[in-house]
Amino acid sequence: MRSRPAPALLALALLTLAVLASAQPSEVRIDLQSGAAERLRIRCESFTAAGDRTARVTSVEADEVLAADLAHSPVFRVQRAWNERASAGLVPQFVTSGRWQVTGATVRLTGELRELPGKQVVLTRTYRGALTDWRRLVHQFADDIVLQLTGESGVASSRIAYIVKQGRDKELWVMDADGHAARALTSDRSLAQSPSWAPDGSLLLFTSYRGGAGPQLWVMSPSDRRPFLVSGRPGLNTTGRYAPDGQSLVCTLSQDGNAELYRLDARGGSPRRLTNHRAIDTSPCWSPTGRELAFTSDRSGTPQVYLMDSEGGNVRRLTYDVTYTDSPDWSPRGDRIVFVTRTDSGFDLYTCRPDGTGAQRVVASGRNENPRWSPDGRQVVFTSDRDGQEGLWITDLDGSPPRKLDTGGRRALSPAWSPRLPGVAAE
Amino acid sequence: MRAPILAAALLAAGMAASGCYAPQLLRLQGGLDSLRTQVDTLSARDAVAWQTLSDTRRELDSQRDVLLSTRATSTSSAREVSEALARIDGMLEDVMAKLRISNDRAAPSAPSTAPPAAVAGPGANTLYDQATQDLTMGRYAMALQGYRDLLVRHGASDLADNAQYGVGECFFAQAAFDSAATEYAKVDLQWPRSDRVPASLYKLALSQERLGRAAESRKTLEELVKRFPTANEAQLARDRIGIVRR
Repeated sequence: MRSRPAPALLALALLTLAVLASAQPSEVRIDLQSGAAERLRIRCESFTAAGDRTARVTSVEADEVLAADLAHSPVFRVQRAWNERASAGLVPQFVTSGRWQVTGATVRLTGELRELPGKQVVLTRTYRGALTDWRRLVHQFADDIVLQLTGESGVASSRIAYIVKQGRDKELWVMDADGHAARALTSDRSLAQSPSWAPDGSLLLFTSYRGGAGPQLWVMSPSDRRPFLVSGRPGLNTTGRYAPDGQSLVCTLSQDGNAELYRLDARGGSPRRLTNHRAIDTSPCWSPTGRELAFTSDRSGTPQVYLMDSEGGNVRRLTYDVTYTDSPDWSPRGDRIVFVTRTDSGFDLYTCRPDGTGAQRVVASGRNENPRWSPDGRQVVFTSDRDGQEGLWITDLDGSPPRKLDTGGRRALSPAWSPRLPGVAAE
Repeated sequence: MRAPILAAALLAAGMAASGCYAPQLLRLQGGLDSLRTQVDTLSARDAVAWQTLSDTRRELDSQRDVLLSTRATSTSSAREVSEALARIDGMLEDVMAKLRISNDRAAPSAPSTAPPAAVAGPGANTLYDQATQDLTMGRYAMALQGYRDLLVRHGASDLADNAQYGVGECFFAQAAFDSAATEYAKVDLQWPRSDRVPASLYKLALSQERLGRAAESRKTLEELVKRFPTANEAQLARDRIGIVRR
């Protein structure tokens, strides 16, 4: 066998449009890949408020939340009906509207999406929930709009776990994907690191020194915030990631003297060594099928990203021609791997295909680290000090400037984007 | 409706003329009243049906307008998409043409014994890249077909051992361990000097273990350790021999 040659460039773009107009509401679906098509132009009209006096106040906020959700999705360019000058010249293809009714402690949103210019109804959904939880209804409507037009749900209802640096301590936090509802999950006055979500979004796996015996792997449900020890073996217990089926996890252990990758069952038992090399093997992540792993190893002299089968073996190097690559994360679509590369000016983010070809720089300028894909594979959240302070940023991977997540002025790092979470059921 | 009324009238006239009695006339009168009621009922139903038909026709007209309007919109969108697809087609053609040229330049010449038809179509690199992409993304049936195409068309290629390992991977990923074992074993049988052999032997042993053939699995692992003592898979095999023994 020879090593894999540099493969020829093959760009395959797929664009599908299906318009079925024989039924009401009509169904319009457009299949979009990041950067493969121009963004859809959508106009957001204000919800009509009804019911209690609080309805008017919350409906105005709901208008902004919906517009922001759609604007933050890489699918749309948004025109706000209440601020048209900000998007002058944009000719919308779709328009959203709805009725926002508040009765006591309950809110009812009837949202509508119409296609222009005919104003055919494309989507009508009604959601009901507690007034205190009204943002979830709007996020769900935004996700359903994306689903209706692309065939794949949006990610507005997902959440992001991250680490907040407070003095010498690092605590685990979680927030909605738009930066709201941030709250601390730990207050250990210790060091928490490397959070990652279980595939159903119910658990967070993280490394912490909270046990007083070095870095250990802990798991916690964000709802009850009670941590349980998963692996407290001698030495390092770090960088754990659940398998896509949730039945096992892979992590770095140094119980045998050197940092190696191990596969454990979901409770942390039955350790099975996957690598055996005098070099340091760390930062593993799964392919979406669970068949392969990407990880960082310095077995070639400098940290580089490698792939191997998830049972161990068949190790092959992914990255060449750079002196330092780290923190791989495999796209949920399976087609790209994002990783950090050290350059003369700092740390940049690159993506490449799983065979190592098609490398593209997606984020530059400053120190950009810890990239993690969004659950739809259209965006990447990462840590950056590009504006002078460590914070969380999101890139749409299409060359547009990254946007910063509002973490309330806290120093935030090591993000982990949740999978899609159970949403609000439409009536 | 008129025929029964006429018949009843004629019958009544006939009976009167022949000197029938009053009770019979009364019954006839009752029968006539009943018939008239039925006729009125049917007329009313007829009117309702006519109204319903008219409403339906109006509804159909309105639906037709909607459909025509939608079709106009759709046609416009579809045309844009068709144009975009045509552009993409053109780009793909260009890329594929470049690929063919590149492969023609790069690929080693096929063995003279191979039939010319066997090397027609995509090159080994193209087939291998596409199959590997399919495997990574979980499209196992397509990956399997791609690897097998490569083995048939480019059996002498230096990617053939990789493709054979990929065939085993397609089965292993789908928990078809019997087939996976058969395919992994072929790597060692057909390309004994390939650097894929240690990984193939390791996955062969795992397949045998999953099939409950512990003795065979141990034997395969021991062979792996003996033949490739420095391979990464050899250390995994040593670890696993302990598991199998336990």
